[in-house]
Amino acid sequence: MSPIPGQEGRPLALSAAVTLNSGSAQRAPVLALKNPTGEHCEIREIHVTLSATGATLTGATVGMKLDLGNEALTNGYVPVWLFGRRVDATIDQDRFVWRLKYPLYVPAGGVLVPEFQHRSMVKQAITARITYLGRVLPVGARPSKVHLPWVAYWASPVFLDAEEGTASSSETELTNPHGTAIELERLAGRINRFYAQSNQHFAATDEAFNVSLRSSRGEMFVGRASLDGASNALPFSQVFGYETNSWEQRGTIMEPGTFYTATLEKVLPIVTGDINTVQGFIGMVSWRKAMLVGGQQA
Amino acid sequence: MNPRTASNVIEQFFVNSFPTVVGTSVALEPGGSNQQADHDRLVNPYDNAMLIDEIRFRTLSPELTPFLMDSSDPGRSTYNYGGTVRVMFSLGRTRFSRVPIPLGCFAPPIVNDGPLVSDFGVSTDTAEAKTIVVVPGAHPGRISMGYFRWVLPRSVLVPAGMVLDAVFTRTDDGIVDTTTVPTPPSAVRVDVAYAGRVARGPVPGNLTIPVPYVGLFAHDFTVPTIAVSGENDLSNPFDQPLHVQRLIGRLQTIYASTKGAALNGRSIALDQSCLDDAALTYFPGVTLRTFEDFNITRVQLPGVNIFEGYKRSLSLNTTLQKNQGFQVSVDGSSGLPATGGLDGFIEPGLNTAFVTMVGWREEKL
Repeated sequence: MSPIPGQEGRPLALSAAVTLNSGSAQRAPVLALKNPTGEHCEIREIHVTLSATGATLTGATVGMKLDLGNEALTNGYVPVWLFGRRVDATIDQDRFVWRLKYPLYVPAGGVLVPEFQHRSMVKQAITARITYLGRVLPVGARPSKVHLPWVAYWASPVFLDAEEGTASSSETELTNPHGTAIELERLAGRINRFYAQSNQHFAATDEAFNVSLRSSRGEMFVGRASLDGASNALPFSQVFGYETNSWEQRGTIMEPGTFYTATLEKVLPIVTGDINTVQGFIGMVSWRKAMLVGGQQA
Repeated sequence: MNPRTASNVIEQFFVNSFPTVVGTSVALEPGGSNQQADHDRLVNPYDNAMLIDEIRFRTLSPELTPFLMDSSDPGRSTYNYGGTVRVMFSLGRTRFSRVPIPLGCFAPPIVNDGPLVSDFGVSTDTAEAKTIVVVPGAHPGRISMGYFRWVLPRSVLVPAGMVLDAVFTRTDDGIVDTTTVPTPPSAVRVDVAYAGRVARGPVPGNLTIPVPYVGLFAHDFTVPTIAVSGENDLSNPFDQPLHVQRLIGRLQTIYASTKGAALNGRSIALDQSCLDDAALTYFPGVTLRTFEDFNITRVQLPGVNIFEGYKRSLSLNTTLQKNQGFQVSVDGSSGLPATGGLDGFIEPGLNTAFVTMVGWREEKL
């Protein structure tokens, strides 16, 4: 929405942290994430940082669920590194930024509630801090239509480095469960590698998997068999992009009830070393329009 | 016709499109030429037209040779094949360039991945290339991977059943693993992928479409000299206007490594001076003018001031009419990387400067 000249709103930053024991799930303190001015606001960026003593983390080690009022914005606890594009690998181990394509409107008195889950990939407790950056809307400014994000994901089984195999997502994971079409902003792809020798997790590049993607409409849009009939699954980084780990979309629409099936083919590593395990993650970030009725999403 | 209008005309057929990526790979020996990527794997296999938005490359050199590492200095073993591996694209009779273009010269490099952290252990990363070292014991193996991405200045329309052909070459860079017998591995694998969208409905066959064009000036500094581009290197050879997006400047250096006998004692880098400071980016002094004698630079400037920072590029956003172009002078008379610090010295003749001009013009389908 356009700011009213002379009343462009005021910047807003809200932050809260929660410490999770292995296997536990917990909401971040809601009061700290509530706009204290009591006015309508919008969130434009969401930052998540993770920290743990004695452990090397990746964005796979913690999942995040987001709820806005009665609206679930995620399909469960989505690994925190699937929301935004990779920004900078030097901080990619524990800091993640999601710059929202559309401002997320939060009505007066409302809260975007995050709940974090420790995915038991390390035994140490993890502290997750979430920060919302946005603005308080000008007095009297309230959109009639809003955009709501929908973030869904699928995680492959954990493979040993030295094994081959195939895994596919189901129809309930990378799906549009809503009654309206959603606009796909990006498909994100991440690989988590656990290096046994040093007991560390790393965000890996693509040597581990080839990937193919099919829509429920029957379109094999990645890895479609070539004219000679041979499978054409592509290396992970050729699909999701080495630089950002995401495939930005233009004008891709998912109709209600449709889904994508992602298939990962685990390949043997190029260089064999100590025993490692590897796991693939694919996420989709999308948006749908909702009408506002009386200040609440309809 | 306003090129923006031409693109908008095409875009209207791709509303509610679905995404796609197609790709394949080739293996290139040093000096290998005209290796065509598998046509069947790059062809548009759908019933409707496809728009290619970006092209992605990955180079992979499976050097599985153990080598001795200096424990006090892992070595700056960068193997960036972005200058030696080159590609020529063509869509039917329409070519994207006159000569093969180095993979690292289509677009600004991918940002540095960060030093000394990788999946397997210690690595020495440059802007685009990673050398991943596995250290399972006293004799580590090593692979090098490079990533390059070209977001096309205007998306390219590929009708159903047609293919954007890619023909690869690799210069004789002399990088061969001589320590593995009897057959030293020397091939670089190159993956290429086209990412784009497929229309859900028919697209007319008589459209005027934007087509990318890349001009190249390349010079091997076998002797200290000032190299000047020719009239066909960075100019518009077409009857139609050529819209220039940017110039890109890269310097390839092949240097001798003192870290054991791996890879014929050589290493290869883009934009590194090979001094102890691995992060130093370097390009010789440059003067730039148009064919009409307009001095874009009034005096010679350091190359990094023109081909800015990590982007290695100069944004132009200008239009050249037929036979108009740019003349670039690269001053290799002094100051080129010659002494490699801990990594040995640069053999004469193994500094190569590249300047590319990236833009697009219009063609009738």
